[in-house]
Amino acid sequence: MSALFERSRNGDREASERMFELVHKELHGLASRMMRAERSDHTLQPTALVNEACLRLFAQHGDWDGRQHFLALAATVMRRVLGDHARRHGADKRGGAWRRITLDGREGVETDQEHELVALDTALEKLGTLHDRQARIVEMRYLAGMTVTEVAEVLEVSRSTIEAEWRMARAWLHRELGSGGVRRDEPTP
Amino acid sequence: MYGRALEVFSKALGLSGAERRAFLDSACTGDALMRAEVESLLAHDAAVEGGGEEAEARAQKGVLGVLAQESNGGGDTGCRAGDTLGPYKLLQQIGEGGFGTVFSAEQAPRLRRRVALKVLKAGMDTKEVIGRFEAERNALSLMNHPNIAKVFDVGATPSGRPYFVMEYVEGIAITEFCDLEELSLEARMRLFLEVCAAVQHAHQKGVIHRDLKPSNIMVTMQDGQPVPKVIDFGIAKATGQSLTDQTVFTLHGQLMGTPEYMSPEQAEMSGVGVDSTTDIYALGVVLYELLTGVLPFDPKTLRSRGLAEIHRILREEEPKRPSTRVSTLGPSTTEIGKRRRTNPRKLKSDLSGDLDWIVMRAMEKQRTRRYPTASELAADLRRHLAHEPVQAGPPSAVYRMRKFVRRNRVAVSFATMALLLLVGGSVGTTLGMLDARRERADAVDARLLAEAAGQATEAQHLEADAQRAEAVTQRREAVAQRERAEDNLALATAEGARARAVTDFLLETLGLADPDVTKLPEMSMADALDAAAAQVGEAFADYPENEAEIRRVIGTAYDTLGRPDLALPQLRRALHLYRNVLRSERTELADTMSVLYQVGQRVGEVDWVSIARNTLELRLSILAETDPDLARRFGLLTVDAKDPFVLPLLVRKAWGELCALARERIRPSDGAWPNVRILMYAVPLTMGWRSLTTDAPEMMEELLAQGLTVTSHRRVRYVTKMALYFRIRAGDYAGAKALASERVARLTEILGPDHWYLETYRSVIGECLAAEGRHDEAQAILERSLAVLERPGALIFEDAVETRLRLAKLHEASGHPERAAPHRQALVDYALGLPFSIQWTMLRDYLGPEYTEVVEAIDEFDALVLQCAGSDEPLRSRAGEFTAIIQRILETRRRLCPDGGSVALLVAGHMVERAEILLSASGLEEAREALLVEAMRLVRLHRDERPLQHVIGAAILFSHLLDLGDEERVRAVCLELDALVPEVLQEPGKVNFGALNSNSLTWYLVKSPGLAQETYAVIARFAALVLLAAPDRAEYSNTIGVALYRAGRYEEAIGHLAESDRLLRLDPERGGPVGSPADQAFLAMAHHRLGHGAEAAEAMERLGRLMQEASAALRPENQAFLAEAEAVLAD
Repeated sequence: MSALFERSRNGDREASERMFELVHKELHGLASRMMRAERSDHTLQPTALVNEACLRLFAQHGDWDGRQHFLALAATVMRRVLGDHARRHGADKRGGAWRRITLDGREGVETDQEHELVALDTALEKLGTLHDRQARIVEMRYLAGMTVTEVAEVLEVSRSTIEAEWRMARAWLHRELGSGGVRRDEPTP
Repeated sequence: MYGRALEVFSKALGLSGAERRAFLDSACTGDALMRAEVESLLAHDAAVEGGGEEAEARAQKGVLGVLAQESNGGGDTGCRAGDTLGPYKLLQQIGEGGFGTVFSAEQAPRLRRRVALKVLKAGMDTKEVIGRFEAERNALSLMNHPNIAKVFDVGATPSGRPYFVMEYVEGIAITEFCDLEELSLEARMRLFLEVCAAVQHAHQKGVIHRDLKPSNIMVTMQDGQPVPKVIDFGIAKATGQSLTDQTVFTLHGQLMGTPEYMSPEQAEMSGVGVDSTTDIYALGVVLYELLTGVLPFDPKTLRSRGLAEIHRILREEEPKRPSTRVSTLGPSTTEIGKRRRTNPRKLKSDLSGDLDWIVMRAMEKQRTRRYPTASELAADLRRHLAHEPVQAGPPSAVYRMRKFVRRNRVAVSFATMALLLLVGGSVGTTLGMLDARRERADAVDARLLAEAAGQATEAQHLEADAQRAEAVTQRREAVAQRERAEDNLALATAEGARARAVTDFLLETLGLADPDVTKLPEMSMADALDAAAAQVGEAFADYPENEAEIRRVIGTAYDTLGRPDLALPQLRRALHLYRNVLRSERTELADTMSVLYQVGQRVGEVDWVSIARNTLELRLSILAETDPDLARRFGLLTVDAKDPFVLPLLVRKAWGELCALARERIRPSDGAWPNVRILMYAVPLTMGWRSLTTDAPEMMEELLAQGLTVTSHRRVRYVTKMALYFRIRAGDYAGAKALASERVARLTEILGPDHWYLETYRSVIGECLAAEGRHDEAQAILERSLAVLERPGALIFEDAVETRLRLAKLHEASGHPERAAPHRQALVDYALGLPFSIQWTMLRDYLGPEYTEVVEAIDEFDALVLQCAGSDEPLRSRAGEFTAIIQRILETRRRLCPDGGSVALLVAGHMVERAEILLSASGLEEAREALLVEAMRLVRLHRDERPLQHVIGAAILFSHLLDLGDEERVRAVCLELDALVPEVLQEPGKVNFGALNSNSLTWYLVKSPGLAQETYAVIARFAALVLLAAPDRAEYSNTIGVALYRAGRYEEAIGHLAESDRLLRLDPERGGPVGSPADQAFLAMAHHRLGHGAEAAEAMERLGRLMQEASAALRPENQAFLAEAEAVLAD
């Protein structure tokens, strides 16, 4: 694992893909193990999942030197997992004619949010083509819960660069996703 | 361009106002497009960043100050009142805590706002603290809640210590406030609800407090009202995740800070992040303390232990329930009670139950078991205050509720997620479901695919089920192992209790669809059912026992709503899960079968009689487990009733014996008694087996008296209808009318006067009025009822039919047979679309009085068969009587039912079926011949409109002719079938036909060779569809295998035959370890054709052994298979 990771860091594509698979499997396995262990729905957030996956993999396979890099990788995987989910879920719903009614009669509201999730994933995709690093920054900050400092370490650029790019990426996404649909709780500036 | 825009954007960020404009002017000279891009991004950046100042300003109003208290003294921060830190002038020290000192301060002369300043002690990495705070600043700035004191800023003192600037709150800790004011439990809870709202708000903005405790929940007075304010949001995170840990011990090993509010996962120190449920835990502790006056774990005990031991306690030890705790406090309980304006005894009783559960659930060790959000904790408290049942409860209740509130929470989580991205926070309330749901979405996809693609993917579906069955087995083994290891029976019980709980919940919720019990708008219920039906497979992907139970409930509810068509798939699926995945032999399987046969009876779609029989057998066998004598007699009884090809008429014999046994052995004290009783009568009453129903009237009245007090509407309805039927039959129209009117009145109260469900009883009133000679009134009522009952979506099969029948009889009684005719015709058309087994019972009623002689002749035939079935006498010994009766059937038919009419066709169908009964009887060939030839002549007249009847007749004729050995006519009927079968069976949608009947039909077609290969291929496809209705039936797989063999598709044939063999061996009562000759013979032949010598020989060897047994050897068809196989293998 460590060797694989080292190779991956040094730009070995094959190693990267293997790592990606490994993490994907671990994240998936983790989610399902938690489901089985607890039977009821759990409230782990993606960040916690990523962290947990990270912990486990490193406990098994290696040291903590590459933790930040690993987290960054896991964030990418997580994004894929979430995006897939939202898309799949959306497709599932279009397939069925039923409306989502909660048992106490309230209408489910997730449709919009799911659209947003898909939109978010798509937007990140697009951002990646404009500025790959910014998309990565969003993943790391958001999905792996990494701090600006941590992101800066992984990407080997200065904190201020990360800070500025994070803000730009955020602004871009804010525009891309349409503020009306996303930030409805906030006061208008 | 994006790259250059980034450059400009980055630089512009550091500038503002005119400076920024000037910079943009120069940087974007000549590039208006980029300027527009950068400005747009800057505007959005401001939108994300902003909100801050204004929001803060709003939050300021009415806020007086901050008082932060820490229980222990702390190190010197090096700051004094009068010092100035940045723009803040320290006014006075107002508190000291484990990690620092709190001052009141005044912000820069210009603003003059009062703030609180918390200066941290040495020992923390100031840069890190500030960095972490900055990272969360945006999220923090979004919080805007009257019960949250804001943290505005962070900075560093000249000596390098970090400080936080916060809203100034003047107040005292919530626990202290409540005790000082001697607030009652209720007042305490109301105050606590506001705290929950604050925490919920923060969670929605992506901020977790991480260090909730009474000293961080201040109560301040505003306009004479106490207002709780949660302070220090964001500080715990900034000072490091393990802040609380660090404050437990100082460098000198002295215990500091407050481990009491620490959650188990914080105690873990494993680096696994805390999440919002960490705050829920802390809220639980605070609530515990507010209610009981003490902490869940005694602080003295806790502090006397080592760090590791504290962590162990937090992770492993269950705190005492609040009600238990207050009763173990000794004399101090009186004081605690007094502070709550109550006495110890009342305090204990007020706490026990709801409040115990609520607190304990919030404090669950497993965070996934806690309330997922603060608002759900609050909601439960509100329920308690409103005396509604709370969601928390004993573990099973917790479990069952959580399953079904999931969707709400997911909705919250998606909203939170979208927001989070923009505020840049990395934490949220409840996002974790996504992954779990993704996993399940995979399963749903497979199912949708299966639905879309039909039978091909159905196989995958079944395979998935097989895997699930395996998983269930594994899980059970694991459970069993653990039980052995720990001798822990509780585990298994809990498992069962959980499954029960889910269903209880559904029954409570969906059971509301039950119009006899409560009132709900029809549409919303249907929608809820649709949603539930669509969700259940996903929600319980790993728990087939739950899925099965819920599907059964949903199916039942659908049927209640008048949608038996939607009910059937749910019930079949439940049955399949119980039988094949869970291998259940218990009550839940019997319950499912009960509903399934009733629904099947209603729509005439499944072989409901055999399901009913199996249900009765199952119920008896369950009872027999505790009754050795019953077990023995039951065992003797069921041997010969298990033949899958047994004819409905012979079922009656077995049924009678089962009922006799049940009547004799089952006591009213048995739980299953009412169910068994109803079942005992239900089938004979529908089937018209009068000898089995002589005591039914008394029984129904008895059940009615009991039934109306229970909430099972199905039972109420069935028993009421039966009681009405018997009262009318006995001429007690007044009694029937009174009962029906009472039901209508009761249901009108619940459902309003216009609900279709009422028409069941109104129609009966109509019948009573007609009997009293009030024809006009009766006709008006019945016609209205019919119109309502035949409305789509409101149809209850038997009620519409019965209403037509009542109308027909009304017109006939009032001397208007011409007005009755259309209703009679409709009834006959109805019957023609149904399987014979149903037509048969209805024939008597459906045909008008002019056909009585035909009906009586057929009845007489059936009575004779029954006599023979009841004795050892072979049918042929009564050949003379059969011949005479058949002559009567033929004669009356000819005289009363003109050729080409639908009544003649209906009678012809029954003639075919009577001929079928005689198929296996030697010595009755002529009688059979007479019936079949005449029936086929009539059927052929309707070839175009009713081709199915034609196929059925021809198939039975085929068997008959083979039996006669009349090769010439066999060839003719084969040609007829080759032309007919593809036409009819290729479009299975046209075949409204029960599974058992369909399998019988295909079996007649395939068991002997003679048709074209293409015809067999069509039959195989049709048989595969039959299999969908009952995938666990070995004989259905066998039919497919035989058809495929005859179609020359040997490999596929082997697959299906092996499956049949496997299923049969799983069922010890039917196949047991030996299997069936029909499987082995065709396996041998198929293997031989493929050149698999060894396998063929092996199958032949098994066939040989099977044929040693008399029961197998005596069946002519088995002899035929053996002969055919020997001939093929000799080639």
